[in-house]
Amino acid sequence: MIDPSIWISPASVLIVAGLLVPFLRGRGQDVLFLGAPIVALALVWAMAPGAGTSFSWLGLSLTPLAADGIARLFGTAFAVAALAGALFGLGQKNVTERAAALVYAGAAQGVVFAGDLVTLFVFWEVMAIGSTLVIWSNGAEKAGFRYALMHIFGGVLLFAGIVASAGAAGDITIRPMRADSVGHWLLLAGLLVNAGAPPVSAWVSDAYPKASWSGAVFLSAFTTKAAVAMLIRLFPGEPILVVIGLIMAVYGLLYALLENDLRRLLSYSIVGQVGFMVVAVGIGTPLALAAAALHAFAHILYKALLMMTAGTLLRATGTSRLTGLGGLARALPLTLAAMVVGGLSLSAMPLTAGFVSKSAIQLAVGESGSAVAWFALTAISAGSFLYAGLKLPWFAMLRPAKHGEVVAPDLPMKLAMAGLSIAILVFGCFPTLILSLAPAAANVPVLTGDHILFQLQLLVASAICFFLFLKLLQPDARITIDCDWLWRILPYYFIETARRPLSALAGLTRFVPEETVARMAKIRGLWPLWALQAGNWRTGDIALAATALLGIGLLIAAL
Amino acid sequence: MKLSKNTVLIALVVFLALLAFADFFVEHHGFFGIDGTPGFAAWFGFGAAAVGILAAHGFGRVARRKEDRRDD
Repeated sequence: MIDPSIWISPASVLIVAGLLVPFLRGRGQDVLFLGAPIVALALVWAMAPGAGTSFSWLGLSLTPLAADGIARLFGTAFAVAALAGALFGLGQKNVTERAAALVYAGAAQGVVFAGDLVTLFVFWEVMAIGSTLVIWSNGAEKAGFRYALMHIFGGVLLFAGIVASAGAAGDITIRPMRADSVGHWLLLAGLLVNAGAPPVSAWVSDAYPKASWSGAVFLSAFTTKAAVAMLIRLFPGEPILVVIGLIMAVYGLLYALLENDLRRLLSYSIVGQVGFMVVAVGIGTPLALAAAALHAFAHILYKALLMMTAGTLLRATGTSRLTGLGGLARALPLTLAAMVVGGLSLSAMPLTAGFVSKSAIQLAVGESGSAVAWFALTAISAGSFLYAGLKLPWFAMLRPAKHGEVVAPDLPMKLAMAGLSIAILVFGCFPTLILSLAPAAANVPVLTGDHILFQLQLLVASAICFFLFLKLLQPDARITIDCDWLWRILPYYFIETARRPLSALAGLTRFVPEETVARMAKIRGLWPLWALQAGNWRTGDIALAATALLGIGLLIAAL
Repeated sequence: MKLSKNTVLIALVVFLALLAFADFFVEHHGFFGIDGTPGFAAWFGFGAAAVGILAAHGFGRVARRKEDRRDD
């Protein structure tokens, strides 16, 4: 065991490695890309529990590193996801993506090991920068920009919340709180933006599918789950989270059932599964919090695996849309097996990791007496099997379809998918391995006769529905409108509405000689007409108008 | 294709019936009464999945658009 120190923490190892990646080439870069997550994983487990050294900065006492059970559990999952993602993406030679992915993974470690709110905020922002660069590195400028804007918004909320919560005393300790003041509400809102909660959940499905075939694996693991970790630390037992989590779970299910693009479908599914965790955090008992953390752990494994299979199909065929896929089972048998394992784990099939964590969540919710939440989550579990266990493998791979040349996955991709599949099955067959990571959930009954029978009935009944309503579940090339319509489309309607009368006025000026318009504008004050023809102004006039505008702006700012 | 789909359906229904039958012989630990009754998960799972599919289909009829905003 080593004492926590900022200089040898999982966060600093990964971030420094990410910054060094651009300076290395070839085999050296590969070794660094793979080696940094292994060192980070070793450090997660080597760190002694407790707070590291504190230091004073601007009158605040900062503790950059504090290790405990939650940090170790999330840190392990993040390091495993980084390692699996790096192995899967070993054939991806995009240096920016590699560097950004390591910085992103390091920042996620920094968040869960943060010992105070200011450190949390710093790593929160580094995480946003790293993830944005992962998206941008694939050339998705607009999507990356929208993603960055959303995370700047979340970061501002979080910062305002930290400042308001710290108060005059400057208390920046990470402590359980309630949404009972403006500061705490802002803090909660900042965390929920990153968790993908409505009404801003659309950023997940907008941005993640824009990353490369390998980049999306990293994106699926860190941001939303780091938010869950901080919800566990800061808002355990906050009642509003139960409602928000249920909305997320329903949203994720409905949109995933409708979605055609494989990676968008998985992004909606992230929101849905994080909804399960948010409900558990809202329940707030020690068992519920442990269950939320365990579900995050299992979810990171199976969602990374599913993103890998989606990335493999994208790389193999050039598309990730279900309407263009199918008939790939023979060409890509390992990918099919991995997709089935990931899908079954998401659906909480017995003998998979997902069954262990969902059993813990259902037990915690049931024991809390929250009947609505329990029945709703059970129903959504049955629904999840429709898209993850059936729709995905059937439409993407198994159904008969003809295909051209298929690019086979390389060896590292196969090893990454096989490794995660085995881990999911081992954790599912030996539940104590995963339950021991969260002592409060150590006694959850998992592989008992009634539990297994219950879950099998739920899933088989769901499968019957799938085949009965197969026509309604056929992939559809159209998209489904989301809340982002409010800020991506609606403003254009306003602009169009406002532009119409101005365009009509501008149209009138065509019939009037230019000099007359200018004279009329000067004499009768029809400056809008004159301004509409600003393109034809003399340079001197333009300079004068611009100076006047700047002057007015300066005056207003000074006032 | 239709035949194989029907065969799969029949096999699943028989399997579900067997599971529900087996459910009578295990001890249940329900939280709210009804969830501890034999075969609960079978009919509840069927109902939940059917409602999920129909709700998604209904929502899709309202909210699906041909436009493509995936501009990157």
